[in-house]
Amino acid sequence: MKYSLRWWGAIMKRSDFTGTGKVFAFTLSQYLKSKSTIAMMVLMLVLASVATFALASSSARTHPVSFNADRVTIINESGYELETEDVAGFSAELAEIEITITEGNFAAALSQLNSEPGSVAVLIKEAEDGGFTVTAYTGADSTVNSYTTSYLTSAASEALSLALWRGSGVSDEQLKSAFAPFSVESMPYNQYVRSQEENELPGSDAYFLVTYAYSIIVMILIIFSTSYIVRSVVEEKASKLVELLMVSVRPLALLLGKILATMCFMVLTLLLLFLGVAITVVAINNYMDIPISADMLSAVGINLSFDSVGILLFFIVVVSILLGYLTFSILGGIAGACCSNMEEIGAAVNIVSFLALFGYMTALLSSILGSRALLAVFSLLPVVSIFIAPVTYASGVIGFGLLLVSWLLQAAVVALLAAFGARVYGALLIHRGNRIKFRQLFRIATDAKKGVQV
Amino acid sequence: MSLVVSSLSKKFGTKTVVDNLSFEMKEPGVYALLGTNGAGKTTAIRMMLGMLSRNSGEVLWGGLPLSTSTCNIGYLAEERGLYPKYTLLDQLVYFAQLRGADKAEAKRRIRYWSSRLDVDEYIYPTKPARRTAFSGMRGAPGAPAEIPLPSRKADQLSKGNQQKIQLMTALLSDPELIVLDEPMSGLDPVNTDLFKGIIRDEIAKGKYLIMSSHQMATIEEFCTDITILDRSKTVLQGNLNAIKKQYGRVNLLLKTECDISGHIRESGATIVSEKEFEYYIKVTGEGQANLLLGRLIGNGITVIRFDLREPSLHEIFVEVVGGNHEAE
Repeated sequence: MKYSLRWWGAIMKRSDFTGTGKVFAFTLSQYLKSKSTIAMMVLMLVLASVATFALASSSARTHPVSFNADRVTIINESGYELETEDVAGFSAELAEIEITITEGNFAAALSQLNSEPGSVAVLIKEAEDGGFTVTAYTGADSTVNSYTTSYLTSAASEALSLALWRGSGVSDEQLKSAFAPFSVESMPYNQYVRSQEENELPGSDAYFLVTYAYSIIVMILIIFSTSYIVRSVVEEKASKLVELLMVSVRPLALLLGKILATMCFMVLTLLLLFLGVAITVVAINNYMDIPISADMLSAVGINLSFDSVGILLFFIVVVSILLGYLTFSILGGIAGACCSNMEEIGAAVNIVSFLALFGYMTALLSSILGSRALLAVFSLLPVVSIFIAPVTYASGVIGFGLLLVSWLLQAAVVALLAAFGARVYGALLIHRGNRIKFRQLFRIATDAKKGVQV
Repeated sequence: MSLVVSSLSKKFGTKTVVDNLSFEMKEPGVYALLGTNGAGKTTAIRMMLGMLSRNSGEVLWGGLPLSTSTCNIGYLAEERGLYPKYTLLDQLVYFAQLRGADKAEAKRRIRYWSSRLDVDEYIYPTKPARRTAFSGMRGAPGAPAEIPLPSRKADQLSKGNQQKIQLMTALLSDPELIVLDEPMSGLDPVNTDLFKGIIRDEIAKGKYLIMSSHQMATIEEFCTDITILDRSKTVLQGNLNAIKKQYGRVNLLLKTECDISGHIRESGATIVSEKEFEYYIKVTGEGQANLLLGRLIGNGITVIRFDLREPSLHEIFVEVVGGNHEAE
């Protein structure tokens, strides 16, 4: 460790980073001044808002919103005796509200609705064909949502059904056994066998989904950021500015300033996405009839509770993404510096993208295979570990000790890349001509090592 | 202060591109680094400024290794460029800040240099204020005559104006050492004179300048000492006047009113060119030139112009470098 630090210190000097802050501030300010960037950010905000609204609308249909009535009056004109307990026993929500069952006096119940916004009146009466109709009514200024009124008609219908059974002479005991709840489940035989094995992860489908969601976010972040960094490096090199800049600032500070600025820009973009979601949630809750609650979002897989994520896990995700981002962005910077003109940007981005894709696919494959040993190995392997380590830690496959080892390995890769970058980046920036190939990079590094670095 | 470059060498693989370059600037002035294309001038400058690692040698400024922390350096690179899509003001402030100036000081210097280089209209563009019912007549008291517009972007400028901006970036930090690699290439005569005026001002301020150029007349105008490189090696070095004296006065410009080619040949001199009785002649020295002049006067020929000079830097360069190339 001591020798590693000494070796790193011999390659990197403090002066290598002088000017990083100024490069960072300039690069970020130019990102934010660009018309295309502003347009993209506005588009992100709008997309986040529209997507949240669409999600809320569709969710409101498939996953009803919360029950929100305070009081229900059932006007029973069926001729059968309804029990308050039957209505209250329909669900936990009904057990907590005031339930009144009357016979007749429908007009009085209706007139009361206008003075009580949280009240609902449900009328049960005999239909002409011999059956029954169950209708819910709310007042002009009612706050009760359509889900609640529909819910109350179901509860009243259920109570009426039980009253009809009782009217036919069926006892409560018989009703209890006839309507006992049951559930159904289907499972392929091999899954049943696997679920019995000790090594199987709990809920492997869920595990795969979490790995999939996390790794795809990381991959999008990496590919977006590195393409920005590559473009920024090549633009500077193609516009023949680097020599002028290198009189004032070291090549590594030039690269680091860009990396940090791009990271900040990405964080800002993510915050903007969250802002779009938050604005829509507030707007929907206040001005529309499809209120969003944490429960509802949770029903479609979005958990808004910070407690459920946990501060430690949040920290772990941030550190893992940061290490991964640094690995790929330094690679992107070196790949960009190998190019001399804008036409070569695609090739430079492809190299980094392929590497990211390799890590992503390996992470997914290992989660499908489901072996704990394999997942633990990949959690330690740099490039792959970026996509998998926080998930394997959160699911208990690896402990905190192994996670630390994984971070140390990633940090070592970042340090190696930074040291390699420090050695070759300056020479690459000055290089003009064909794109530098991978093997040529090592020759440049060897030449730089032989030379006296000032 | 003094600049000492000693035994500077650089190899790319097995090829030596700068071989043992040494020179010294003991006092302010202009030092010329000359050479054919690919001789190693730009590589030498890059090594001096710390952009390229070197295989051997050192560069000292006031006894300390030359770097941005020991010396305020201004550099106009041979490969010139600006951010094409960023505004000029933004990038100039950025360049000045990288050299240690705060934002207010950077803007003050940009204002000065934009005026000096006559590029105000691009960095601080304006448009005439429009006449409205509220502002009254244009130019009326209290009404602004010009409305400021955003600074132009670099890709909206001509090549010459971009070059002025690039010179501005080199001078923004008021550097002690100014390195100018081909400063006049591509400039029209008006802007060439503007650049020359600025260089003269910097010399008068006591700055150290290193200049690399293929325009020998410009070098001759400013430089006191030179190094000529050819294929990585130093082939000629020293004080320009001393070098010229070594060559002697061998260039004779002679103008008469009649054909004197016979007299010239008989005197043993060589005619290089002739146009309307104006002869450009190579002589072996002052003795041969005086002999020719006496011969013309003795024959009653009116001599309108007799100008005996040392060889120009251009001629010395061609002789030193051209000879090596012919020998191949």
